[in-house]
Amino acid sequence: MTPLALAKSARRQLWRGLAFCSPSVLGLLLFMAYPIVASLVYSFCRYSVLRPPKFVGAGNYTHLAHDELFWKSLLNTGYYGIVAVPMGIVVALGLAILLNTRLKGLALYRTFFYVPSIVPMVASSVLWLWLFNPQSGAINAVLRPMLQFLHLGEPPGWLADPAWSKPAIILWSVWGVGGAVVIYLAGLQDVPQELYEAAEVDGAGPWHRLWKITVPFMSPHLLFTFIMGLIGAFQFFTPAYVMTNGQGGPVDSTLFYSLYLFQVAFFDFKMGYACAMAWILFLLILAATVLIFRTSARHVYYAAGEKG
Amino acid sequence: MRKPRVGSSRDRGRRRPLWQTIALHALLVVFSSIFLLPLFWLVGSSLKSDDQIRAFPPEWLPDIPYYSKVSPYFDVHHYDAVKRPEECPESTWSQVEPKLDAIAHQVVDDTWEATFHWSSGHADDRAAAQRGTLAESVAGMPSAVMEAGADAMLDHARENSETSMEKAFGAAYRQLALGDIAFQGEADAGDAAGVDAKWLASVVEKTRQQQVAGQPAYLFEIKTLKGRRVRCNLWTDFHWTPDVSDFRNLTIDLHGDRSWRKVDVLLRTPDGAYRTDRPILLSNASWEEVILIRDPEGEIPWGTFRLLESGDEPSEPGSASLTLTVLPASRWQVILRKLTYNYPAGLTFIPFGKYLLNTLLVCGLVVFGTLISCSLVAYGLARVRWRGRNVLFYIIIGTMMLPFQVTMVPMFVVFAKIGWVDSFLPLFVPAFFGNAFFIFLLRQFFMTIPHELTDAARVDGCSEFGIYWKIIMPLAKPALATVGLFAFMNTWNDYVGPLIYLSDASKYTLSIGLASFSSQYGSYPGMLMAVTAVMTIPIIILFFLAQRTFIQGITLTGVKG
Repeated sequence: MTPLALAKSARRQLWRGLAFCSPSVLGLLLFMAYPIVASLVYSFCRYSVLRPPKFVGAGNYTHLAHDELFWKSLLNTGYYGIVAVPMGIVVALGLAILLNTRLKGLALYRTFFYVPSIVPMVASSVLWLWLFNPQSGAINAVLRPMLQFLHLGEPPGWLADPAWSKPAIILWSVWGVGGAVVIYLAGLQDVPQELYEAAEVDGAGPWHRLWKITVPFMSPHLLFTFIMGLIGAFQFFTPAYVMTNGQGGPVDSTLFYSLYLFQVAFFDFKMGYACAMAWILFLLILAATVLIFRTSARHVYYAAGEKG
Repeated sequence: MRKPRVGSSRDRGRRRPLWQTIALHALLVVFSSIFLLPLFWLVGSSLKSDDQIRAFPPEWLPDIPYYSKVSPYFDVHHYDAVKRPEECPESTWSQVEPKLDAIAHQVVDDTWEATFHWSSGHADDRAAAQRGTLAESVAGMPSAVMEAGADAMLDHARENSETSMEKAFGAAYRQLALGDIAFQGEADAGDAAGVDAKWLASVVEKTRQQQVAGQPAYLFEIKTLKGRRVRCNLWTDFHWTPDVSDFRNLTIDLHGDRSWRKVDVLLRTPDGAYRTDRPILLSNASWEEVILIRDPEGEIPWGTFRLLESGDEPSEPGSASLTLTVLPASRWQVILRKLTYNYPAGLTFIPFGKYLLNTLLVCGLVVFGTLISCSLVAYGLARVRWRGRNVLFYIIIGTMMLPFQVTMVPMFVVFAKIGWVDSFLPLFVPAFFGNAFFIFLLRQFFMTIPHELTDAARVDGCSEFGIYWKIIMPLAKPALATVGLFAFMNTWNDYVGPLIYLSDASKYTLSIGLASFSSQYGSYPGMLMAVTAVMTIPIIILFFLAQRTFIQGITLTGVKG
C-alpha cells in the first residue's frame, strides 16, 4: 500500500473504532469528565442546589478537620474495614480449604455458602435487623442458652447497643463471603498437589503446609479480595442505611463514611461539603490501594501460568 | 513455562481415612447450617403471626392454629404440662402438685358454666383451662413461698386461684365479640369545623369480665342444615339515626377468636342493605377496629373494607342490624390460611405489583443498554485496530478506581436541572453509555476469538458492524450471559440510585419499597418477612437456573487479580 492509502486506511480505522466506542466516549464525557470537574469545583463552594454555588476557598476542607462526625465516621469505617475485611478473608479461605477436598455433595455445600451472598442487600439488611433483635431475634435465641450454660450472662443488644452495633454489621458482612469462597475455590484448584505431598514427606504439619504452600499460592486472590473488600468497606452504605433508618445510630456508632456523606448531601443539602468528603474518600482509597500494592509486592506470588 | 498440572497428581493421593471424611462432613454441615439459618428464619417468620415473631423466647417454627368449630373456646395447645420449678425440691413437688391441680380444677369448674353458658364447650377445653390455671398459679408463685414448703405453696395457690384462672383465660380463651359500632358521616366541605359527624350505636363493654358475668348484647346462633352445622351468626340490632345519604363509614370493634375463619358482614339499614367486598378474616384474638367504607369508587386505605349495596331486605324504619356470619372452614383451610396469611397481606399492603413492574422495567432497560453499549465498546477496543484504543481502554479501566460518591452530587444536580429526578431515566440511561467493568470483561472475551473467523468474513465483504453483530455476538453468548446476569442483579439490588432519584412512592423499585416498608411498618414483621422473602426468592431461583453463569462470572472477576 502507498503511504497515502495507509494513512487513509488508518483514518478509516480510527473513525470505525471511535464509532464503536462512541457510547463510552460520550459516557466518559457526560458521566465522568463533567461530574469530576463539577465535583471538584463544588468542593470549594457552598452549594445547596437551590442557590448558585458560592466560592469559599478551602473552607469545606478546613471545616472537615473540625467536624467531629467526620472523624467519627472515619473511625467507624476504619473499624469496619480493619475487622470485617480480614475476617471475611479468613472465613472464606477456611471454607474454601474445607471445600477443596474430594468429598461427595461438595457442589451442594458450595451452593449453601454462596446463596447468602446473592440475597439482595436490602432484603438481607431487613432480615438481619430482625435476626439481631435482642429479645426475639434468632441470633440471641441461639446465643442465650449457650451463654447461660457457660454462665456468661445475657447476650448482647446488637444494633440497639453502641458497643455491639459495629460487630453486628461485621457479622452481617461475613455472612456474604460466598463470592470470595468461590474465587478461592477456583484458585485452590491451581495449587500443585505435588507440593503438599512433598511437604508431607518432609514432615511438614498442616499448619506449616497452609502457611508455606496454600497462602503463597493464593496470595494474588487474597490480595484481590482484600483490595476489593477495602474499597467496598470505604463505600459501605446500604445495610447501615437500611438497618438504622439512615440515621447511623445508636449514638452514631454505625455512621459510616459514605452514610455521613449521603446525609450531608441529601438530608442537609450541603453539596459542596459532600463533594469535599467524596474527594477525601477518593484520596483515602487511592492511598490505601497504593500502600497495599507497595507493601504486598514482595509477598505476592504469581504462579508461572497465571501471568500470560 | 509449565503450568502446574492438577488432575493427574490429584488422583494419586492416598485414600482418606473414614473418620476424616465424617469429620469433614460434620464440619461442613455445621458451617452450612450457620449460613442457612438466616434464610430458614426468614421463611419461617414469613409464615408466623406477628405475635409469634415478637415472642420471647423466640420460636423457630410457625405454630399451627388450634381448630375449633364453635366460637368461645379454649386454645388447648396454649399451655404445656406443668414442670417442676427449680426452686421447689423434688420431694415437695411430688407431694404438692396433685393438690395444686385440684385447686385449679375447682376454680375452673366453679366458673365454667358462666363462661361457656351459650355453648357446650369441649371436654378438652375444660382440661386445658385447668392445666393453664395450674401453670399460671405455679408461674405466679414467688420463690420465697416455694422455699417455705408445701403448706405455704397451697395457701398461695388458694388465695390466688381466681387471678391464675383469669390469667389463663386471658391468654388462651378465644371468643368472638362485637363492641362499639360507630358511624361516620361525610365531612361537610364548607363547614369550618370540618369534623366528621360521628354516631355511636349499641355498646358492649370491652372487658371480658362482663362477658363472663353474662348478658351478652348479641346472640351467637348456630344454624344447621340437614343436621350439619353450616354457619354461625353474630348479630346485633340497634337504633338507626343517621341519614343514609350522609353515612360514609362504619367502624366496628370486633374481638376475633384466632380461628382463621372468614366472616361475612351484612349491614341492614332502613334505606338499603350492604355487604363488604370481601370477608373479614378472624386472625387475631384481641379487640380491633374494622373499618367499612361506603364509597364505591376511589381509593380506600389498606385493611379497610368496602361496603357495597346488596339486594338484601332493608330493616324496619328507625332500626338497623349488623350480622356477622362466620363461614365454616375445614381444618386444612384454616391451617393454610394461617400459614400463608402474610404473603397476600404483605403483597397488597405495599403496592408490590407496581414495585415489581418498576423494578423489572428498570432492570430490563439496564440489561439491554448494558449489553448493547458494552459489547459495542468492547468490540471497538478488542477487534478494531485504531490509534488511541489503548489510551481509551486505560481511561475506562481507570474510572473503576473512582468511587461513585465523587460523581454522585454533580450527577444529581444535572438530573435535577433537566427534570429527570423522580423518573427512571437517571437509573437506566447511564447504562446505555457503557460500564467499565463489563467492557473489560467483554473485551477480554472478544480478544480470545480467533481472527481467522472474522478475516474470512471481511474478505467476503462483510461490514465491520456485520462482523460484530453476526459473528462476534453469537460467539460471545456465554460472556454476554454473564454480563447480562450481573447487570440484572446489580439493578435488582440497587438501593442508592432509587434512594437518590425516586421520591414518589408509586415509582419505587422493590429495594426502596421494601426498605421504606421496613422503616415505617415495623409493627407488621410477618408481612415484612413475607415481602423480604418474595424479593429474595426470584434471585435464588435465578441462581439455580443459571448456576454455571454465576460461578463463571465470580471466578472471572476474581482470578485476574
